[in-house]
Amino acid sequence: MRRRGKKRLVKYLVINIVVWALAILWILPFLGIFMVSMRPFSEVIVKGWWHIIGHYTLKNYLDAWSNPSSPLKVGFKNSFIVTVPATIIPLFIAALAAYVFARFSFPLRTMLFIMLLVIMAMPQQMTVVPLFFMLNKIGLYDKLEGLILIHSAWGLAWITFFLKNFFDTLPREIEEAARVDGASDAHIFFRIVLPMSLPAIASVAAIQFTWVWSDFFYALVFLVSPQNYVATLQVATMKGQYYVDWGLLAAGSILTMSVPLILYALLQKYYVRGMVGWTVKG
Amino acid sequence: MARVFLENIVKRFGKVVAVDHINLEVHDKEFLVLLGPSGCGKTTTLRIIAGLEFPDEGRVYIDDKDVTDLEPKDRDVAMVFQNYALYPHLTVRDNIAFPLMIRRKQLGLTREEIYRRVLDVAKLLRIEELLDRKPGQLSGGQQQRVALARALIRRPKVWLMDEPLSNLDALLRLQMRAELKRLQREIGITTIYVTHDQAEAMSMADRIAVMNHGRIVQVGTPDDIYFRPRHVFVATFIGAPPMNIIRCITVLKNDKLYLSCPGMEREIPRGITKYLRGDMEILLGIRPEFVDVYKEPKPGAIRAKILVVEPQGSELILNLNISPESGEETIIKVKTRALRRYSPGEIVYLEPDWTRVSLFDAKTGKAIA
Amino acid sequence: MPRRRRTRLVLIFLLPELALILSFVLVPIIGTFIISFKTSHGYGVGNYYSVITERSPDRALVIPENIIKAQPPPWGALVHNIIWVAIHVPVVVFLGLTLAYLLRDVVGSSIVKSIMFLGMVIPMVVGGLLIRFMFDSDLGVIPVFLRELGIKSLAHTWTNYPQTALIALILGSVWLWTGFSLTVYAAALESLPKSYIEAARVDGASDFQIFFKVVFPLVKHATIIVVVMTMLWDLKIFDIVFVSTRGGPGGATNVMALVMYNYFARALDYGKSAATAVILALISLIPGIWFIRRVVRPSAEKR
Repeated sequence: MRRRGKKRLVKYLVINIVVWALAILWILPFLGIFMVSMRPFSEVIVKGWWHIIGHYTLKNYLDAWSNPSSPLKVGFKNSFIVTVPATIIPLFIAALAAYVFARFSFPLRTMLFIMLLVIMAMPQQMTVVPLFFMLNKIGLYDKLEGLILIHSAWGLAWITFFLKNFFDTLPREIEEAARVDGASDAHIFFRIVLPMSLPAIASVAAIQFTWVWSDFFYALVFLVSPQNYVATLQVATMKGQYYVDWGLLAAGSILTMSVPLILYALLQKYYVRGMVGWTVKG
Repeated sequence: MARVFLENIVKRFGKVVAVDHINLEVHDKEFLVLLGPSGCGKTTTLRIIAGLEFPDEGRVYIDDKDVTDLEPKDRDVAMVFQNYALYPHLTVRDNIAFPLMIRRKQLGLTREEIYRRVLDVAKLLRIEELLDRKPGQLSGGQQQRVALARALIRRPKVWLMDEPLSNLDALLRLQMRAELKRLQREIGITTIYVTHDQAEAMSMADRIAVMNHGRIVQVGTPDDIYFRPRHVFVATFIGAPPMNIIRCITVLKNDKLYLSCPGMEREIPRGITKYLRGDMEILLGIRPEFVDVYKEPKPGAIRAKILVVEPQGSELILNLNISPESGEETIIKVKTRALRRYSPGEIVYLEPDWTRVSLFDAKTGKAIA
Repeated sequence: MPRRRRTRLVLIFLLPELALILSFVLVPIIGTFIISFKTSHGYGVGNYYSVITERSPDRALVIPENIIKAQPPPWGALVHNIIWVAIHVPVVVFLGLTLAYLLRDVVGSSIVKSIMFLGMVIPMVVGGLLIRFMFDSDLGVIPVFLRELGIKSLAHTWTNYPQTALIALILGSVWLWTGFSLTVYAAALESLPKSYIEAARVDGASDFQIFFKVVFPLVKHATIIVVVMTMLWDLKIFDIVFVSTRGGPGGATNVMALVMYNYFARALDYGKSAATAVILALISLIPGIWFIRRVVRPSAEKR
């Protein structure tokens, strides 16, 4: 009896130590980059960032924020200009479509739904070349508006899929009750269904915001003028080809990831539910 | 003032015929129950009246007005759902107010007037303390009352209820039955109520429409349904335990018609012989309640052997074999008051109340006479 | 009348979505196909031929010229993607499920989960910089640690040497992506009735038997999702490579998406760029169709 208990305790301790060691290993790069960002690079390169004693300064952050060649303050502004509409527009449009997919049967319904799934499996690379010509033709190449449109369209497929799955779980009786009570279709959708879907909408908004904010590929391809660069593009250009100023880069990295990280801290539950939800179950 | 009239309603889902040529008239202020097993089409019928489904054939009339193609909102009906379907993001007050708020401009009501009426209805249903809560914070019984209040506030022409009590626990269900009936009487509102629970139907209905396989088998008062089933399905669906059905044959002897059943033979009363011939297969229906049990032999009584005794408190249910000699088993159930002790294996003598038996044609299932 | 109302609603609600998807997703996808067959002398498969047979190390998909002259790496971008999948998928599946399973007995498991999930939240560009940082000879934990252990040969900046660059990126992608796997598995385990594991325990199964014979089969659905999503992610991987190595040194970390980008932005050869994108898309459809068939089957039966 006692031996069993002891064995169990040892097992428990080993598991805890191993898992936590792994967790610490996982967070180490974040700690490291944070330490580097807070201290003069000359000091870090000599002693290593793990020596806690030394000078602490915000100089790297100030440099990154108003760097003469790629000022992050401009990148931040551009990132917000792109990300906010590219979150709201597809969320709204996809919610309408998802509701139709969840509640009505109509010709081509299955085919259109499969089309959405195929788009979800497509790499972004598959759209770039024609989009480049299209944007040039309509004058949106190297424009934030063009990027907004492309991100909005690209987000529609997964958001529709996600929200359709969510609407499927809502009891139809509530909408039927509203219809008997005299509500119009628009009223039912906007005043009953959408408010009931707030958790799903929060998940979608958090994830779409993060993805658009984090996007690098579309921005790299469709933005050329430095004054139009979004934050991810600027951080990437801060890293020189041969010499790396880690202090500046660390501060830039932390600033760039701080926006989705803050969102994650605020909406952690919705994040996780969203990441899991849109993949689990059809 | 509201009558509901269904004329030849047919509804199909793919190949399945959910509702099969239904004709039904619901009178003003009547409490009509649609009763039947699950999948019999009763909920679909209700949803057609509500306007949530549209029939493939037939017409729906409310007060002689053809509403077949009207949206629910233009029919002036209210509906209570099995899972209550309360709006989770609205308070109880706003849930109840919802049907009026939607029509506020049409009706020319102010918010204050609406909330005053919410309070009136809430008082009637004794939920005025709950008005500021959200549905998620309420018990099942409270949610039920809120759903009723929401269906009441508009004073609709017709109240539609889809198994509204089935999610409540047994005791609450009994209370709500009485209360619902009282409310309906007081307000005098035409009500169509769907349930699969025959006890609920018997205790609440003015009339019951029993449905099976998408058709209405019988419409009548609870008494009619109970004492005078028009079909063997009704006989076996109603009652706990349901009516005993014994397979018999008519025999013509010396110009008299006899009913020959396992364990007994009996002359058929003159009144109904005109519907019968010799050699017909007949189902004899005897309610378990209408059989007297004797321990001593009695002339004309049926000899039976007790198989199982089920005590039910003040009553007993005996499972009996009425043809113990023949080697086959013909089992019937008999309900009797628990005044005496019975034990399995015992032989007893049964005397049915012959004025209350039913006869059905074995081929069609329909009642004879 | 009810039917007409419904048709109008369906149209109004679907129209904006279909319009946007058609013009900015569907037409471009079809356009890429068409452009990929366009060559200087009419339509043909010339682009595909040259893309596949390209030998220069920074564009080759399968047979870079060095393969005869010298030891690989590089092996070619397509092969790198396949190596990536072959290492990354099993590691992520194993780590994610094991951690999710062990975490049920760990103090502060939700903190561990949050830490692991960070990799899913941060921009991949930053992820790539952090990978570069982790393997930096002066600042990176791993080279410094190896130096302390006396393993001098690996105490350099991993991403600067062809022999270690690819594996460094793959390890980095494990670091970034395990949070996804862990989260999916944790959710799957949570929805699993405890009685399964308890029944196995009563039946006398050991911990390892329970893990491999009971838990693993029961979370099959989660495994499929993790495998498919990880494959899709690995195949189109771009940001972390671009920002940490640009496919170097000497093409040692080149991947399909980068080759596509190089044709597009450096060589300005849109036909070859499109052809590379089509090859990438077709390969992505292998896990993609697997996923779609699982999703569509139940939903097609509904109404």
